[in-house]
Amino acid sequence: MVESKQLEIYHIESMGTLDGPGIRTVVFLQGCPLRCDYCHNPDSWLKDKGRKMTFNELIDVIKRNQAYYGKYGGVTLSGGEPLMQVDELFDFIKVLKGLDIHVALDTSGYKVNEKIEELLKLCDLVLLDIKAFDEKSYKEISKISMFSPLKTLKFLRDENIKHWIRHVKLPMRPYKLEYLESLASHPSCEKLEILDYHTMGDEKWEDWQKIYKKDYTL
Amino acid sequence: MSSYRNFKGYNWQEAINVRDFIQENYKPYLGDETFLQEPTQRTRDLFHRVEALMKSELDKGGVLDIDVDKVSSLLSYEPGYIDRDNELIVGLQTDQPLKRGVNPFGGIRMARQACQAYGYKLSDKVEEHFEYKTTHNDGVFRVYSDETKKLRSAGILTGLPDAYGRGRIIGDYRRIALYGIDRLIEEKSKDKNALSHLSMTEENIRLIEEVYKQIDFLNKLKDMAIAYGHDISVPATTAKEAIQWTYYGYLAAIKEQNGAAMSLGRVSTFFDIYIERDIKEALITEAQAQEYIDDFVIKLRLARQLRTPDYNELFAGDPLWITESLGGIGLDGRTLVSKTTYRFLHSLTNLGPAPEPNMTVLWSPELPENFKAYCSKLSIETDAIQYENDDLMRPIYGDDYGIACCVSAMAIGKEMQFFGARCNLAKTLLLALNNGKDEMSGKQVAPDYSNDYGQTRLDYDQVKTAFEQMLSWICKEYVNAMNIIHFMHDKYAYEKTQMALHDTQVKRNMAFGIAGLSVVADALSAIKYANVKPIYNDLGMITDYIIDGDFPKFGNDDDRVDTIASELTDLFISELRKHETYRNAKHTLSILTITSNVVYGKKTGHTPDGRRAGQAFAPGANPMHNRESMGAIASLNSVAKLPYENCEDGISCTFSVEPKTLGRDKKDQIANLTSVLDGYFIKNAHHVNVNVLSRDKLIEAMEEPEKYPNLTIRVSGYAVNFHRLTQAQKLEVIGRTYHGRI
Repeated sequence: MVESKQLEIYHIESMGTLDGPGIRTVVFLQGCPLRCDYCHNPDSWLKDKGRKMTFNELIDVIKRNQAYYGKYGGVTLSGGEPLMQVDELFDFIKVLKGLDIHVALDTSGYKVNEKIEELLKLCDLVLLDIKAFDEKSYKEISKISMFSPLKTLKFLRDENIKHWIRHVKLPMRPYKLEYLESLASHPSCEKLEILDYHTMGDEKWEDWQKIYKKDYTL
Repeated sequence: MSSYRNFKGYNWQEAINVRDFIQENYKPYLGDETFLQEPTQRTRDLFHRVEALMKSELDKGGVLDIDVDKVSSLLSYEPGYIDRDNELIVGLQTDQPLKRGVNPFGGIRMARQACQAYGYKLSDKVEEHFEYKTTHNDGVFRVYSDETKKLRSAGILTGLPDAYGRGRIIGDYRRIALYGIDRLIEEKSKDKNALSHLSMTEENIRLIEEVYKQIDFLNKLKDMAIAYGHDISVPATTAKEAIQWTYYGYLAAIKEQNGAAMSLGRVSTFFDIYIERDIKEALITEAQAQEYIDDFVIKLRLARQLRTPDYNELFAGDPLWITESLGGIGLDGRTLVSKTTYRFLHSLTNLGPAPEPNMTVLWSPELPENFKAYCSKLSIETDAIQYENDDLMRPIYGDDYGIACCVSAMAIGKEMQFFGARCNLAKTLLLALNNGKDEMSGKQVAPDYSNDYGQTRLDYDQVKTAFEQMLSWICKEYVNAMNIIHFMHDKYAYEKTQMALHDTQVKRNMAFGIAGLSVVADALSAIKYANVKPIYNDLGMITDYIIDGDFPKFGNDDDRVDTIASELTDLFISELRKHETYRNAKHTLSILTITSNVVYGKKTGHTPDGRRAGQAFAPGANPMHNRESMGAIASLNSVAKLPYENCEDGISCTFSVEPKTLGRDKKDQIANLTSVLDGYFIKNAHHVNVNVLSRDKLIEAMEEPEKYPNLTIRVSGYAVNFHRLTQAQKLEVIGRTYHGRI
C-alpha cells in the first residue's frame, strides 16, 4: 500500500510563500548530505532525527491547505535534501500529481541518477540551489562538488523542465551575476532568485553553529 | 430636478425598501483602481485643520473639550463647523469639532466621572435634571440579583452594557436620502395606527409608545437639518444631498445615543447610484465625487463620545466602530462592488490610514479579481481593513446586511441586536475547579458543587462534567442579566432615531459572548492528553498546575484540540438557548474580545494550559500566542473550524504577518494575501483582521512614537492608532504571534 509508506520529516510550514509560486505547503524532509556554512537548520542534517509520517498523514495536512493554493500555489518538497529519500519521494510525488497538486522540488542537485531523473520529470517546478561559482568554493561552502548540480541543470534544460535557479549571496565570497545569468538563460528557467544571506539574529542559529558544526562537519 | 429622475423600479417606491432600490439601479464595477482621484486642495486644507485639532486633542490627554452644560441630543447645540465655507458635507455632534457632549441616559455616574477625569465638572443644571430622572443604569441595578452582581464584580460576566449605551444598532440611514423624512413619518404613522387596532398587550403597548417616540425624533431630525440649512423632509436630488441626508441620520444617532458601537451600515453602493447619475448628467466630476466621500469620511473621523478613562483603557483609542460594510455579492450573483466601494476605501490613501470608519470588506472568492487585489494592496499599505465571509452570511441575512461593531451581522433596517459583551470562559473553568470560589479573591461567587479533584492528576471527565455544570448555571445568570439590561435600556434609553430607521416589526438578536476560548480549549486538551497535577494553597484552593507531557494546542490544525474548541461553542449556545429571552430575541454568540483580552487576562489566575496568572488571553478566537508551530495557515484553519451556526454573532481572528513572509515583492505579497483570504473563507471561516507589518516596526513605534504618528493596526474587530493603546496593550500586540519565516 502506497498510503502506508513513509517519509522522514523535519518540519512542515503551512504558509510557504518564498519557495515557489503562490501559497505553498512546504514539506521539509529530514537529512542532508551538504554541510553549508550558513545553514539555518543544521538539525535537519542527520537522518533518523526527524519524524516519520505516512503518505496518508502528509496528504491529510496538504489537503487541509489546498483551498489556499489558488492558481499558482501547491506543495514544495524541501529539506534537508529531499532527494536523500528519493525512492519514497518518487512515489509521494506520484500521489500528489494524482491529486492534481502543483509540485515544486527544492534541491541542491547533489546527486543525479536514473531514478532522480525520473523524479525530476514528475515535478512541475524544480528550485535548484547553486552554491558557488567554482569547484573550490563549492566544496568550501557546501562540502560537495559542483559537478552534480550542473549535471542536474543540464538535465532540466534538456528535458525542458521548468526551473528556478537560486543562489544565496554570501558576504566575503566572490559573486558572479553574469555566471548565474548564463545558468539561468535557458527558456525552461523561469526565474533567477538571488537571496541575501542573513543570520536572522537568532540565538538558536548561533547555538547550532557551535554544536552541530563541531560535531558533524564531514 | 426630480429626486427619482432616471431611477428604475417600482417596489421601492411603493414601500420602504432600500435594497430593492439598490438592486434596480446599481452598476457593478469590475475594473481596477486607476480611475481614482487624489484629494483636491480643498480636501487637503480641510483635513489639515482636522489633523491639527486631533493633535491638540491627544496633547490634552485625549479629550479636547466638553460641553458640561447641556445634555446631548439632536437639537441641544447650535450648528457646528470645521471651516464653514469649505465643507461639502456638514454637521457636528456639538457646536465645535471634537467638543464632546454629555449623554447621561446610560448612567449619570459614568458621565460625571468622565467629566472629572478630564478636568471638567458636570454642570449643576445637568446634575439636577438627572436627580429626578431614572437612567438605564438605575433601572438595571434595581433589579439585578445578588448572584449577577457577584459574577459581574468577579469579572466572570464582564463589560455588560448596564452603565452605558448598548449600541450595536444600525439605523438604515439611507432611508432619509431615498424617501425624505416626511414619507418615513407617514409610514410610521400608518404602522402606529394599525397597531392601535390590535389588543393592548404589554408588548403591543410598548411598541406603540416606541413608534410614537420614533416619529417624535424624526421630526427633531428634520429640525436639526434645517438648522444647517437643509430641508430633509423630501428625498435627496443629488449625490451630495444623498450623502448629506444619510449623514444627518447617522449624526442624529450619535447625538442621541452614546452607544458602545455606532455602526454606519452599508452606504457606499447606495451612494454610487446617485454619484454615477450625477457624473452621467455632467453635474459633477470624478474629483468631486471623491471629494464628497473624503469629506464624509472626515466627518466620521471626528465622531466622539465622552467616556471614562476605564472604558478607554478597555477599548483603546476611543472607538465608535463606525463600521461600513463594503463589497460582497448579491443574491443574483452580481457583485455589489461599485466605483464608490473603491472611492470609500480610497479615503485611506487620500486621508491616510485611520481606525475610523471601520472598513469591513465582505469577501467572497467570487469578488472581482481587480477588487480583491486592490483590497490586498490596501491592507498591506494601511493595516486598516477587516474581512468577513459574505458567502457564509448572505444565506442568513440576504444581500443588504451590515456589520455592527466588529463581527455582528444584521439585515439593515430589519434586524437589531441586544448587545451582551462576554463571559470569561477561562475563569468559569477555574470556578468549576474551585467549587465556585474566585481563584483570585477566594470569595464564593458561584454554587459549591463539592467536587474533589484529588492530589495527583486532574481527571478529564470529572473536570469536564464539573465545567459543564458550572457553565450551565452561569448561562442561566447571563441570560437573566441580559433580559434585565435590555428591558431597562428599552425603557430608559430607547434608541429613538435609530429605531425610526428600522421597520416597525424588527427581528431581535440577543448577542452573548465568550472570552478566552483558546485558553479553555488548550486547558482541557492539557488535562486530557498530558498529566496536569493541581497545586493547592493553604485554604485548599487550586491555584496552580504542574503540566507533565505535551498536548495538542489550538492553532495547529489538530482536530484533537480543535474539536474541543468547537464543542465549547456548542455547549455554550445550547445552555443559553434553554432560557427565555426578553422580547423573544434569538440567542446568538460571539467569540470576540476587542482589546479587552488584556484586562480579562489580568483578572484570571493561572490556568491548566500553562498560561500564567495575569497573562493576556489571545484576542477573539485566536490561538494563544506563540503556540502555533505549523505556520499561519494551520493556525487560520483551526479558527475556521469554529462553527458559525453556533456563533452567529461572529468569530473574530486577527492575523499578523511580516511583509517579507507574505512574499518577496509587493506583487507576490498582494497575490498571496488574496490567496490566503480566498482559502480561509472557502474553509468557512467568518472574520479576519489583517496586519501586514513587522514586529520591529512596532517596537520602533513604541520607542519613537513621533516616527510613525499614524500607525494604524487592526486589533480584534477594529483598528486603532497604535499610540492610543496602553503600554500593556502595546506589549500584548507585540507579543502576539507574528507569522515570520522559520
